[in-house]
Amino acid sequence: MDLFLQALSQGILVGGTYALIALGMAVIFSVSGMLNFAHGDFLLIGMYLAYAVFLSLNLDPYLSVLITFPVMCLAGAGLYVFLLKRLGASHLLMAVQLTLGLSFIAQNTLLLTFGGEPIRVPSVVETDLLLVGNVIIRTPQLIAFFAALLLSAAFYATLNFTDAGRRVRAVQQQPRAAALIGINVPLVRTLTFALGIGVLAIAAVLIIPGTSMAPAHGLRWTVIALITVVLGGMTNFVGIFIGALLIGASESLATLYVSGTLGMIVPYALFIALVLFRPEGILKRT
Amino acid sequence: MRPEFFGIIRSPFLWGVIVLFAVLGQWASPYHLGIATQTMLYIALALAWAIVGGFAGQLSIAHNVFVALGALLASALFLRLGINMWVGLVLCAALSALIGVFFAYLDSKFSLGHLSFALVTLAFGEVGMLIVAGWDFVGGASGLSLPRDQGRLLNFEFGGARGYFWAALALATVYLLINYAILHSRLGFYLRTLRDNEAAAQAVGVYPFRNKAIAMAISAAMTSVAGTLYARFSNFVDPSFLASPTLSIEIILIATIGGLTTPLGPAVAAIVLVPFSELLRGWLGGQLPGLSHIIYGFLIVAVILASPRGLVPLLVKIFRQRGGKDVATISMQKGA
Amino acid sequence: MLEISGLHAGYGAVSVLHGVDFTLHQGAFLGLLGANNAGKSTIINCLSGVVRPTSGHIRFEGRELTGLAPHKITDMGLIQVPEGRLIFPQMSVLDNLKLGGGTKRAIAKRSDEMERVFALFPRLSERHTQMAGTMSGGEQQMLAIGRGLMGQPKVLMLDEPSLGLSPLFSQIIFAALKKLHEDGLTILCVEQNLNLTLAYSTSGVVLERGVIAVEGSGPELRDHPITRRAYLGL
Repeated sequence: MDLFLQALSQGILVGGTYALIALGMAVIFSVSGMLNFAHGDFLLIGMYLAYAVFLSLNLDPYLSVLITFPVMCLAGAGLYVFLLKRLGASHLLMAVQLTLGLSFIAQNTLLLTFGGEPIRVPSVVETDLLLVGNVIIRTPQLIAFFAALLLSAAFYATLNFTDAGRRVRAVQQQPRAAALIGINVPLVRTLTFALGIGVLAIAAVLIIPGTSMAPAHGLRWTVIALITVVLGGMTNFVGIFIGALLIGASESLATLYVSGTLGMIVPYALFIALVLFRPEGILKRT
Repeated sequence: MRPEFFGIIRSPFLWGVIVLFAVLGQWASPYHLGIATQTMLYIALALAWAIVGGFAGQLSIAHNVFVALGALLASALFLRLGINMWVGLVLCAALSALIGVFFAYLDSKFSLGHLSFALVTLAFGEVGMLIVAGWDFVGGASGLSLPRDQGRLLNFEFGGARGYFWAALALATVYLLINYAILHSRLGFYLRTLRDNEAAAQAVGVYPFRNKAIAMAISAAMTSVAGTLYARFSNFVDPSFLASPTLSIEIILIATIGGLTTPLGPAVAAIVLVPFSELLRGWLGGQLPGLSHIIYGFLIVAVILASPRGLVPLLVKIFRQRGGKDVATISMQKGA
Repeated sequence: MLEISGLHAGYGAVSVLHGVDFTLHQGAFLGLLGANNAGKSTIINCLSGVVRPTSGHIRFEGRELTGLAPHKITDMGLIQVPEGRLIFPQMSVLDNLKLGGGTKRAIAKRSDEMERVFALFPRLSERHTQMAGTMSGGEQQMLAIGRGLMGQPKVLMLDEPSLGLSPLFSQIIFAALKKLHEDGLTILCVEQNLNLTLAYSTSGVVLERGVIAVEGSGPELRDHPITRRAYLGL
């Protein structure tokens, strides 16, 4: 039972960060209809940027986010303005191929720059532990979870209760009408891309303490984000948060109860089953 | 089968190039033969993928599963159960075709749409990798080593670098002809209609599932066969390469850079890119790993922005404007 | 107020407008009439900047509009209520209206304008928390007009406001437009429904295969042989 609780709590805490990564992907999808297959590689760029800042300025990852966040926002805006905007809405599959190409560029540029060996970046809280009953909780994971929860909530509130958020939703639901009521649709899309990628800088520093990074990990993060977004129902942001916790928990429990690498398949199996039987996502009523 | 197809198989240009390759193999060094073999295998993989990714417009990212089946399972059947690799090749191709039909079934049962299809196949691609890594029978994460080639054709041994090159060249040639045959057959026509507008195609009586399932089965089986030859050619069967979704992406990028509207697209792109990246690796001698993939990445971005139908159709267009006419021109006429 | 001269436009290789000229005067309620495919919607979309004309000029209060982005044109007070209403379905009525009043020009007086929209269409006030996508077609059209009004237009352009509505709702919509016109709003209304439009508008323009076939006041147009030809394709 203790083991079960241990695995469950760990999975849920990790799931919080998954949610943040998936939200970035989902908000980009919602305003552009495009899925970014290089999302995980952008996350790794965020992690390596934090690593580079640590190497050069000896800054703790939690602080380096002040530098990496604006950089990643710019990268996101550039991704839209210089690349995806030119494809137009009728070429969604080309967006897939293009972002797959970006994934190759990002992954191998990181490989060239930092080498292929897994790297860990030390952080002030890395080894801190908390004991709740018999369950051990690692402090960085707790920080990550609450930061992700807070950000997701702020994100949700912005989207639903502010003019800026309404504009994003207007572009998502009816881009033509949005332009006709005076919304600068390309600008909204650019800013959304900036935030959707920018948030990865934050997710990156939340993941860093206690997790290793290697250039080849990008695709796996992309897949985690993708399956979370699909589980949640593509643009249902509450659904995505819950989906992320589910993925985190299932991953963690599976490694406990299913032996070896096969345990890693469980989240994917869950995803495939859900796509097949509830393609509209976990929350939506039929 | 339309007359264009016979025009192509009678094209002296096409056979001239193939014979030239075969003859050049006579004098090439084993190192260069190795690169050439790898090139031919990539052509085969890209052409096999293009039947689904190009004609049917379904972006499958799960083709690494079929490569893995053909390479790892056929090798494992031989090493562990003593099953002749020719038999293994057929078994694995059949199994791949079945899995391909299953993908097509998922696609039609749940009307996945192009984007969801890419998503689901990527998940399957990852799952395939994880299954291989966790399954000791096919060598797990460490892979399999095949015994030394003794040149016995009946044992699926082609005897040395030259033999494998000729085998791979023959395979690529057959795949090219299969692609042309499909392109100019009723199936190819149906697939293009389904790709461009599934609802309209259905309205005029084109069955989505049947046609996509056939395409997927052919593509998967062809991929698996190329995988088996790859395994025997490279002796050491490396799952981190042959089972990884990265291989799927590499195939997609090569095929798309070349252009998916004509079989020459994937073939020419592989002929240019694979030797280039292999020679680059040789020159740099382990320095700057991944440089060729960075170049693939930049190429795909440039191609999609500048000539979304790929490089070969663009070259053909330029060539035609200058009044030329060759096999490429003929193939382009019904290619779109 | 709004001058269109020599307007040519099309989609790809297909050209739709072949030199359209007309002027919309301040305080007018002009019906832009014609059969399907005559090019009515193309004109209105050129005016909104959604379709880029191949040649010709559009001047609004003396300023050239061609080449401007849609949101800029809307912000100048030339506002389109699109065909098919295109309300934001997964947002409340209130959020839809707020969005309409989000432009730089309009945002300061957003709540005043909302009062006026609710006075014009009390139904919207009753349903202000409802999801817009769950409303009936007629209510959605009210919302689309209300959303356009929230931008405080100098000219309100409507594209087929009666499309898919019952005769009763069509009457309600046009009565509201008439009231807005009496309050001083300039209106350009693209419509296929000839009699309905001529009953409420002050003048009309009949479009036939991409050119203006005839223009004039309501009674003049109603019985004009060219109007009948344009509509019946005779």
